[in-house]
Amino acid sequence: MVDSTAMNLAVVDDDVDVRAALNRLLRAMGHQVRLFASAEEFAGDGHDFDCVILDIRLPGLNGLELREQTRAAGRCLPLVFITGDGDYLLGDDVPTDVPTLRKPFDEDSLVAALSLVVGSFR
Amino acid sequence: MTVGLPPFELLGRHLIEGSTDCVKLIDLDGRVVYLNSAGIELLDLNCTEDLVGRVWVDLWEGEHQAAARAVVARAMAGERTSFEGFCRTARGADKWWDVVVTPIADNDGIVVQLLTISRDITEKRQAADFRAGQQHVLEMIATGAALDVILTRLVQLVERHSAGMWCSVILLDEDGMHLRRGAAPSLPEGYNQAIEGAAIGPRTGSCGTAMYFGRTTVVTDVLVDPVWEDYRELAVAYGFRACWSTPIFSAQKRVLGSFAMYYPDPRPPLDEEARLVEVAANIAGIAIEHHRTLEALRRSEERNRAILRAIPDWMFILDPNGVFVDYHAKNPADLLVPPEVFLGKAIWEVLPPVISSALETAMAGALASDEPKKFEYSLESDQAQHFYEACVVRCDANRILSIVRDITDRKRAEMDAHVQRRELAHLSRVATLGELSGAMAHELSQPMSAILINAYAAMRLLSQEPVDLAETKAAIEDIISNDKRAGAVIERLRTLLKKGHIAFEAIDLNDVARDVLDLTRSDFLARRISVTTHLAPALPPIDGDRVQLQQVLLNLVLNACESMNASEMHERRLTVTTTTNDGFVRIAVSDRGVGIPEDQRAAVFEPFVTFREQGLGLGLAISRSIILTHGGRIVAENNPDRGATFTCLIPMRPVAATV
Repeated sequence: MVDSTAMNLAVVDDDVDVRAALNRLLRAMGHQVRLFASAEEFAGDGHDFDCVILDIRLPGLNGLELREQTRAAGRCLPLVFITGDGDYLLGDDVPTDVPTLRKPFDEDSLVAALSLVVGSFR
Repeated sequence: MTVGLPPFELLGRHLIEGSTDCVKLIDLDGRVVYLNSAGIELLDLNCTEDLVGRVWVDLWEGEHQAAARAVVARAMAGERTSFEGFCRTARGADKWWDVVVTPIADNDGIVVQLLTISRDITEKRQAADFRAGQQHVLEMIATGAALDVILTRLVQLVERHSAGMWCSVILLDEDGMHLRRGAAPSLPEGYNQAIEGAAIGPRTGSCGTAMYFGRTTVVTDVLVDPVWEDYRELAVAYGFRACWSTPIFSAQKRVLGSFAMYYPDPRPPLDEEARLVEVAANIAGIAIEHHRTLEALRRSEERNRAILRAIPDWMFILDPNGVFVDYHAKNPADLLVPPEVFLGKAIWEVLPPVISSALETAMAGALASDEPKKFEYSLESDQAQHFYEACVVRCDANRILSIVRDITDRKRAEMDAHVQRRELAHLSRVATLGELSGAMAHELSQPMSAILINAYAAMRLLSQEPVDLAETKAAIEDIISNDKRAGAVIERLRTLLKKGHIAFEAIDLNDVARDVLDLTRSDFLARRISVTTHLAPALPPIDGDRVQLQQVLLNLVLNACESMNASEMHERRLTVTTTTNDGFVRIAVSDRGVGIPEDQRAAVFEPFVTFREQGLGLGLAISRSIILTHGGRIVAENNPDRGATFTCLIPMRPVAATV
């Protein structure tokens, strides 16, 4: 089981309730979790993570722009996007090579996405 | 003592011969046996013999002969008696006489002769006749005879009084410039027609000139006087040589016409004639002015009747006790109660209590002031409800006029419009929410996610040994709070979608601003718009409908967002401000977008005018109608630097109502 492997995860979401819930679930799964309320806060952190669970719609720099910035800087973040928006709001900007979870998502989807990302990066 | 005194018979002869009256002696056959010298003169005779021997009674004509005969009979019987009579002189002059007949008796008391003394009273009789004629004309004026009949009578009166001339009355048109036919029964019709409609002026004959200058114009000879320059040929053709005319004035000294006397020979006026023309002009003035007043009154009444015929309203005249005195209805059959039922009855005997008491209040108000009092009411008839508006006004001290208008159609239209407005407002809200649905989904997805994730976390925590009960409890508590959060979003949606009646209550516009900004928060995020609020602390409440006000603000906020689509990221700023000033609460939404095109500023609140890609173009029109129903107004202005500001001003809730 992938989830038996403790991972080092980051959650970037401006919604405090969603952040708190993800923190609780991911810790219950045995992972280490760090929480960030914005892309800027995350970018300033400098830690390495096995995977970053990144909300697309954020105040200031959004999820997609954060990814572009890090790619431009030559880094490739292991990412799972989460979003509350429908397709028409997201448009064609969402990269197809990043697993994207529509809020609300279930536990299995989250586990599958994490293992996909972590598996492909390891 | 008889020395120096003439014998009695001689004295009598002197007295008789010296008398200025006509003295005659008549024998028992009724024949004239003696006539004094004054009599010869008065009767236009040459000598005594012209009359002596003729039967005295035969000198009189018609009814006067009968009177003379009666007088003679009584005198023969020994009675001294008198009468007034009319007879013609030898040269045909008509004369009135006051005659006293005295019997002369011999020593035995037998009547042997009659003495008649006749005094010429023609002038006195004529003056009395003229006064009577004048009186008659004034009576004709008073009883409203036709003007031409009155003036003709007046002209004839003057002509009869002063022989050898013709009179005319000419009217001045109300334009003050042209002659109009008055009355000239003795003047040739051709002459009358020739001057009809002629303009007045300084040389337009005696009448035209008299009217032109407003003073009496005397022409002693038409052939030489410059006054007749323009009409000389005409005057000559009809044989006029002298003519004087005096203007007829109104009481306000306005020229109404002229009164003229025409003569066939050149001559100056006698004093008597000059006086007569003034008197006649005065009477004509009274007649004409009275006629014009009556005409004006008649025209005004006709106009009033025409107005009444044209007015569909019902009118009721009431006395101060509320009794119906009179009514007007274009079609009396339309009245819900026939006139014979309500006339003479009091309002509360005829009308339902609700209406009669409202009418009573309005009547009291109308009686106390000059202001019309209005109220509306409805009545059932033919299973249909009719709406009426009554306007109650005081006519005079003891009459009240109630003007009743059927406003059923207007009322229905108003009600329809009200329903339509509500429907439209609802549709517009639904449309707005459609635009917001993405944001709504996002807004709901957050608590839903938190709930689901917390539930999974709780499941996991419960399956672990040992169970972390504190963390599990925290997870469940978060589920509850997030569910409530989702519920609140749904409740806001439901409110906006509600299709209910408008309910006015005390509203804090700051709350409205917060509600709307909560609803649109995720939209701002998606659009990268930063929101600033300047909400005045302790904002006084306004009287309003929460949902409708939310709708207005939501619409203004979404418009502002839309206007900034093309703006640079750092320019995407939206400001919501509330302030209070001068009895009004102001809420303003300001953006940094494209602003309102200058040529469309006047039209932004018109329906179907839109600057947005989505939307019906009804948002601002409905917003304005909503703000108007709140007694306020909405204003759109471009900011000095960029973007636009939409401001709503709504009156504060009256202090008494803020219990």
